[in-house]
Amino acid sequence: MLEVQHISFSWGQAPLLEDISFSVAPGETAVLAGANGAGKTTLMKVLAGLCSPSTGTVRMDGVDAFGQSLRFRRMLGYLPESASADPDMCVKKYLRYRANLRGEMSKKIRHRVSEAMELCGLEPYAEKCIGTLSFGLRKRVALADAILLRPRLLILDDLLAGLDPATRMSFGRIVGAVSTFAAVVVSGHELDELAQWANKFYVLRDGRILGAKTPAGVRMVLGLVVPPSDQGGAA
Amino acid sequence: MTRTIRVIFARTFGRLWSSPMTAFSVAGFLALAGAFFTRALAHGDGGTTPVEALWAAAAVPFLPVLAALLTMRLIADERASGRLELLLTAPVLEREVVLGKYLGALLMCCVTLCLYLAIPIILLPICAQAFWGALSTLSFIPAFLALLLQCALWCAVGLLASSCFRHAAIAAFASLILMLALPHAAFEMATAWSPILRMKFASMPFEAHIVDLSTGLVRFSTLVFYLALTCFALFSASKAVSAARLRGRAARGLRFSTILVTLLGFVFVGLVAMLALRVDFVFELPFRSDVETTSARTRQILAETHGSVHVTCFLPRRAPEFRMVDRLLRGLEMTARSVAGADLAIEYVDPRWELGRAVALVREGAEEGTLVFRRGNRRVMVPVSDLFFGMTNNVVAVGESSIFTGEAACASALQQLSLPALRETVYWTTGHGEMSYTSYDPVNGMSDIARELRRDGYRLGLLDLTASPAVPDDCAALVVAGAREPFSKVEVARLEGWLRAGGRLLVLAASGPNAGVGALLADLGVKVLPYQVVSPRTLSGADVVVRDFAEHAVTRPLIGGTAVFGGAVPLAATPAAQVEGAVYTELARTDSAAWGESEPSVRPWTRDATSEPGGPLALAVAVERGGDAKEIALRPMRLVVVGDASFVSNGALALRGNANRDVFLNSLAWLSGLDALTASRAPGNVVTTGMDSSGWLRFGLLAASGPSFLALLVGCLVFVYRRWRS
Repeated sequence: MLEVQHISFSWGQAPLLEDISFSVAPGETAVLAGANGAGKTTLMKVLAGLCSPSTGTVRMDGVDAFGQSLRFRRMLGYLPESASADPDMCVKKYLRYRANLRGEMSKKIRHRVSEAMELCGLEPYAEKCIGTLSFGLRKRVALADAILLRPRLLILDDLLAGLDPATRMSFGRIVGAVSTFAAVVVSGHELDELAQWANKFYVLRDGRILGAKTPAGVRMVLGLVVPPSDQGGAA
Repeated sequence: MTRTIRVIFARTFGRLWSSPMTAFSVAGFLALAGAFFTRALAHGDGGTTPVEALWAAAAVPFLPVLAALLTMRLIADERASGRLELLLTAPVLEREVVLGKYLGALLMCCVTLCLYLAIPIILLPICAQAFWGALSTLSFIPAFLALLLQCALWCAVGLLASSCFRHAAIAAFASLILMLALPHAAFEMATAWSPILRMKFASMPFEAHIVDLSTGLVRFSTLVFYLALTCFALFSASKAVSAARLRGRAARGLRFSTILVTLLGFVFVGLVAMLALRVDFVFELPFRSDVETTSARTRQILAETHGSVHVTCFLPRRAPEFRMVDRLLRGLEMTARSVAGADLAIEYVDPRWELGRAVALVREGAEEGTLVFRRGNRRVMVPVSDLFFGMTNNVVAVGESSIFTGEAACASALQQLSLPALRETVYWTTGHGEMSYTSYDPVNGMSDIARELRRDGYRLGLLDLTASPAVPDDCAALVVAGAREPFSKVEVARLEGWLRAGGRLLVLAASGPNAGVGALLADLGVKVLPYQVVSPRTLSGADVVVRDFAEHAVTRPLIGGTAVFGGAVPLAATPAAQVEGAVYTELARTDSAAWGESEPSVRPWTRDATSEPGGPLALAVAVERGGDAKEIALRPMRLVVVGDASFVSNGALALRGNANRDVFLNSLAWLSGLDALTASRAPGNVVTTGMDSSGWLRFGLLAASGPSFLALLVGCLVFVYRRWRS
């Protein structure tokens, strides 16, 4: 289980995250929403162990993200905001390279790569150079990389940004499949799509996290929708 | 090597291999280094700097540029594109990332150096087949390793710069500042500020290390210096990568500790380097050139010397010439053992450490920087400055402007110890525009050869035949060194009389049949022809390299060596040489390509076969008359004529490590009747390519373009293949 406890993070004198706590169990998919600049990406980087917080801890199955960094990263699959796979490698080679890098046993690499490519629909592009692929396909490659070794924790930053509806749906299916064995944290603005496969919603505002159970609740917290009681008052 | 390092290493090398930028960088390096090697080889032709050292030194200025271009993108690009972030979410350590990338870049450098090695291994044998026989592929291994050691350092520094910046171009610029500007500025400032450092470092250490290492001489402190700096650069690079993940206020403490650790690392490296200097020792790699470094003369002297000879090297260990002297002494020790001659015991006295021994040596009259040879009660001191031709003000630019002739000097010292003191007197004529042995002019003086003669036991004196009624009785030989004005009839008569009575004359002939003693020479059997000898096999044409030596007491030990004649005149026999009892020998002859140019002032030089004599032409001759069976009681007249007035001038001896000195010394020895004792030869490691001007042009073009073209071709093929596949 991912346990985030009292995370605070500041850049210079400006606090970006303040006392953030939540938990996500394997099998659960948590959506992190918020306006631009709310600190979603920073929080995702803290969860991935790329930024060290001022206070607080991030643990996955009891393994501290900063104290036991290597063990934590063995359980982690991460898709950054801007997909950044090596443009001069072909898809299959790249995934093999990444699997090798993460210490997967040589015998299993072929199987893992085939599985991830099949799941992400990358088989027709296996021998294509990543630099020549479209943005959507590059994002698929990055997702395949993130889920390659069946991680216990999957951090997907702004997963659906810039994708067409069909691709969004297919990504939903992939995340749904992965969430059976992993704790998934997804950030993004596409609340309706995310709602179809998310169990938990968190909203970031002013560096603090606010709970919400549905996309409508999220919209309400973000001030995008006026509450029914207020509508009545106004009338 | 961990699996992570292997994976990143393979990926980095693959990326470099398929990058057009790499192909251009490697091709540029090969073209420049090849051109510089050709230039260095052309300048070093006839010198004693080993080809391996020339090869390695030619690449030294361009290695930092190559390393900077290869490493600049390795981390900077990954950081700018966000790939580094992704890489660091994998279970890998920062040091593994840095080490994997470093090894990938180093392997690419190694491949580049292998291509560069093709120049002396493949191209040189094609263009200079005779020369290649004296070298071997194995002898280039130390030079290759030396360049690789320097590459290892520069790659680490380049990677450090790449890990500190997001832009590859800025990283490359920073690398070049760290690798080129900073060391040179530090060196210039240090030598300008401190006279001690000025004496200690004759040249930039990074260049001097390469020359030493490439000849197989390895200093422990040098190895430690490179390894420590390389480790420090890699350590700093991994810390810089770690710092990339330290963001926000919370990371301030971590950043501070990273900076502190890096500074402490630098101090540690400094201390390690200083400790290595304190406990320094020297060892030699087993791979060496097949060229014989101990001459026949030295072996002969060592074989004839018996008993124990104690050699004290009174020289600071840090002196730049120490390595060469040390190597020479150990070489002599080994040779003495192999010929079962003198038992050489070598003692090193560093005046900065062994104060008691130093004081004792100074009381004996030895100055710092002296080799003291002792056998029983006899003692000979050889200043270290005498071991180098072209050494001025006790500052040696080892391997650059000086020629190490230490072996000849040590052999002379051993000879003086083992043989009765011979004090023959050699007179030099004056008053006819001769070159004087008292002149220290770096080009036209003859002080260097005079020093050699004195060391070999000769006394020297000047003789003015117009003032002196006759040649002195103690004159073992008379030297006429490049007389321009003709001798008067009175002088010629005195000379002729002395010669008929068994006199011995050595003439360095100036051009013009009547210059100096030209008229007398014709009567004695030698004619100076009115031409200048020109050779198409040298760059200038006026320099003539001679390898054809006669089976004669003077030149027998020189067979296999080379003598260089500049602006020489050809010699020929006259009918007087055919008289009974006269033995006329052409000691040194040009090859058949040379000819006698009748109008040397008109360029370009082309041979007119109808009027100009073709090669081979005699450039040095010996004539002996009398002393046969019928006149056994008479001392035979001996004459040696060399067709080059400046044959043993300071300029000729300092410029090239040729056999000129030995031709001269052997001639005087033969004239004095000491044939067997001074059998000598040129140092074995003289670089003689034997290439003519067209050969040089062909080799230069091949060296500069061949490997670089190959690199570009491979780069293009890989690039096209990848394009085609994608």
